[in-house]
Amino acid sequence: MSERDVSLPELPADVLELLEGERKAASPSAQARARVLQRVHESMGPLDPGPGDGNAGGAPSGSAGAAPSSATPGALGLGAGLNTARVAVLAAFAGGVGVGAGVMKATAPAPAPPKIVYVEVPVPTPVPAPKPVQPARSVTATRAPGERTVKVEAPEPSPPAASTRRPSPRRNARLERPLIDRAQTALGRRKPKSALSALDQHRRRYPKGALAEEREALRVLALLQDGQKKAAQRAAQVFFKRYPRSLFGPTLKTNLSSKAPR
Amino acid sequence: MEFETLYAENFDHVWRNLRRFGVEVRHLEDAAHEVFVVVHRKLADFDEGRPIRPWLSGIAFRVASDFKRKASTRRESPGVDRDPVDERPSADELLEAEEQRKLVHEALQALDDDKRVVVVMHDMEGCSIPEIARELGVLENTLYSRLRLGRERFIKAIRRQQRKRGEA
Repeated sequence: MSERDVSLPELPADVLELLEGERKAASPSAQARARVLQRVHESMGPLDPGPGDGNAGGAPSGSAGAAPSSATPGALGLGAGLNTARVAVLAAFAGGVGVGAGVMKATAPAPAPPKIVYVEVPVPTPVPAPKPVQPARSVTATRAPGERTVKVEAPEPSPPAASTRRPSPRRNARLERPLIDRAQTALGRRKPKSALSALDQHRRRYPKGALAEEREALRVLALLQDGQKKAAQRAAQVFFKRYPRSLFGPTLKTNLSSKAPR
Repeated sequence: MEFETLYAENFDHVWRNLRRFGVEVRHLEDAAHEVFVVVHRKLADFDEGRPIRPWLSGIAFRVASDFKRKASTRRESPGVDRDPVDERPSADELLEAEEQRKLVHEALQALDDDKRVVVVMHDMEGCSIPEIARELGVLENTLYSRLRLGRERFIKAIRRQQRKRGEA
């Protein structure tokens, strides 16, 4: 059935013109673009796994409530020539430390009992299942159609030690977020000095924080907005050197090349 | 296609479509986040022989429907308000385009979801009916029927809005 077979009412010329005007309407702000990107980054883990790793991000955080929950393990794009076995690993991950790049969920409160988490474990096709060294601490995976059963040795559950436990990157990001938000808000209100002040504060407090990449990207934008083009270019050079495949790259390049900073 | 490239090239497309599908301005960032989380998860399964934009529009439509459903349970009423757009000096053309955008969005909100998505994807995004059928899992004949009804109602809604503003 083609469109010509159906009597569709034609859109009048003035309505077509309106639609054309709507298409040309203003774009979302660079800040919105960067904020969404950062949130995707936080939800999915590193988006830039490097060559050969494929999409090695984990599942999204609970914030993506509306997203369909039908993420299949195979959809995570592990390396070619590998099978993916769904493995239940009995482990206590202090502070939510994950296993490998394909952690589906690895957040465990400190004093909680050992918790079952599902992880993606790449299994080379021709290799038979390894024999467990310590059967008492290993867990057999549930066999799904087309999957082989493997046994994975779980780490010894460690006692909770809040003082020595390293906070998870996601928790770090939550702690750091207010300063970054303050900088973003200041940029949105065209107050680049306030933005730079918040960014400096973040740099002092979290020099290698989880949001350091976003901070340095915002610094470039703030310097541009403040009219310090040369300083912005220097900061951008450092940024591109440190984060050559950053997702903020296109936004920064657009802003650096445009006359009026966004 | 790498996620980074896809994001850079299609963020505006997703953002605009979420707006067209009726997501309120204050929820746009949340909705865009959810769209790209889904995209990231499913990208490995995406057939690169297919056009990317109908696929993205399909995801955006589902996320938008979910947002509106949530908003209705919170007794929020959808509104057409100003997008947080670039704060560059506004020329007359930009203001006029902004007015046109508002008019179109208000008229779109007069349509049911199932008709709005076809009008947006077909008449605004230029997707073909077979492409839309594939992404939404709806029969082509049904889509043609919805497009016909959707266009009729869209034109009426535009005229109504124009009369309100004293343009027609």
